[in-house]
Amino acid sequence: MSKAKQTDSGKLEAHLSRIKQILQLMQQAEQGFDQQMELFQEGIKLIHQSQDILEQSELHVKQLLEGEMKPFLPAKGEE
Amino acid sequence: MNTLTYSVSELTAYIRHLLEENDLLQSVKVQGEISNVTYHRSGHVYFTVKDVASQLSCVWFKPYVSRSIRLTEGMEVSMKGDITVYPPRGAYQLKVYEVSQKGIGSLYEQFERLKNRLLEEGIFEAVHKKPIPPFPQRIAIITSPTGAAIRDVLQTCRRRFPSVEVILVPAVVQGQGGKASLIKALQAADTLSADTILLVRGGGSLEDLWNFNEEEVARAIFQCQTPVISGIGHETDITIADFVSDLRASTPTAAAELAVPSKEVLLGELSAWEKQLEKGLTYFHVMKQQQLDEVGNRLEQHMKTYLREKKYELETLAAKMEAYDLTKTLEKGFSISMVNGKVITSVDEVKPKEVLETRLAKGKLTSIISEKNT
Repeated sequence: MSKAKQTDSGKLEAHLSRIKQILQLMQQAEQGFDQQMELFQEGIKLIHQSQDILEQSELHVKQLLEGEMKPFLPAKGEE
Repeated sequence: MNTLTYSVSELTAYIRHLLEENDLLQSVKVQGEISNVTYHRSGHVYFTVKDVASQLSCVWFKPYVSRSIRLTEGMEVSMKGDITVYPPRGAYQLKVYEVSQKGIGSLYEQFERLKNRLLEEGIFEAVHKKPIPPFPQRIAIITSPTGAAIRDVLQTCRRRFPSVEVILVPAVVQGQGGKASLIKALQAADTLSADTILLVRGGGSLEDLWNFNEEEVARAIFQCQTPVISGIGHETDITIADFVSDLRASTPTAAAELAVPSKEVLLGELSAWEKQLEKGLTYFHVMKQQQLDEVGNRLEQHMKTYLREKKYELETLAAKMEAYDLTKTLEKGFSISMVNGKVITSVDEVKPKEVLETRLAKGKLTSIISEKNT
């Protein structure tokens, strides 16, 4: 996928895989204190950002009409 | 008022005449659903045709029976025949000349034929199924912009994973023009750099869903580089499009659920991870504390041993020093007196007649005390 700007979903995916990596790294005993603190802070930051993305994003809907992207307005009667 | 009394046969003959001589009831066309069909040994076929409110007995005599159609329970047919009366049972029936299958029957046959052909060709096989990306950034939805399906899909995406970008590719999903419209939409959707294409439509009759059973539509799905999830009709509806898509969902909502992850599940995972991170850090601290304690203990132990060694060294030295001093003193002519091995410094410590030991620079003397002077 080559998209100019990374979408929320793309960020989320990257965050989630980094968090998993951090969890693994933190379990390795030979980490120094500073390193451990840095990993922890990075992990917590990514978790909070991911939560924000999930909780705050709004669904963006467009439609393809005659080869062009136009905003999509749902039909009447939508609950 | 008719006062005559007729025999049953006479009356039946009259009814038969009324019905069989009525032009409206001859070469009449009728349609309905087959039930109670019996292929008799004689070659005649007996069955009933019905609709919601009525039923009609039918007999299809051997010379007219077609070998290209086999009547089965529930089959929708249209027929041509004459209404006749069968006097032994006093019943009227349709004497059938022609039967043709309509609606579900013939479409069902077409469906089966195409399905089997494509199955043999191998385009339904698992090796062709593309994996569905677990975190789509963009999904394309092919459906009618006004149908229930788009509403269901959008609602599901909004609830589960609003971070995804949705692009609707409008298509005619029913009736005339549907086939061409679906093919065009599939081709267009495949160029949108979408992670997943959803091909959805709400429930309907087999006829309503027929566009999804068209060979060209199946091939257009097969040609897509983007993974396609189908969600057409209700749970019980299966179309050719479902067989050829990379993943089949039973409904449009189910298709959306398969296309995007669940926000609730992800949020749950995130907070579990947060706890795990905190636990990891606490564990790290506890572990480091323990290591520190251990180092402290070792240091203390080491220090104690060291001090003990130094003390001993000092004591030895002091003893040597003391011994050295004593020798010098004795050489100057002083001596040390002891009673019972104890050094004495005062006459009060001894009594007359006691044995006194005297140490000189060279040798010892043993003497008896004869007198003490204070």
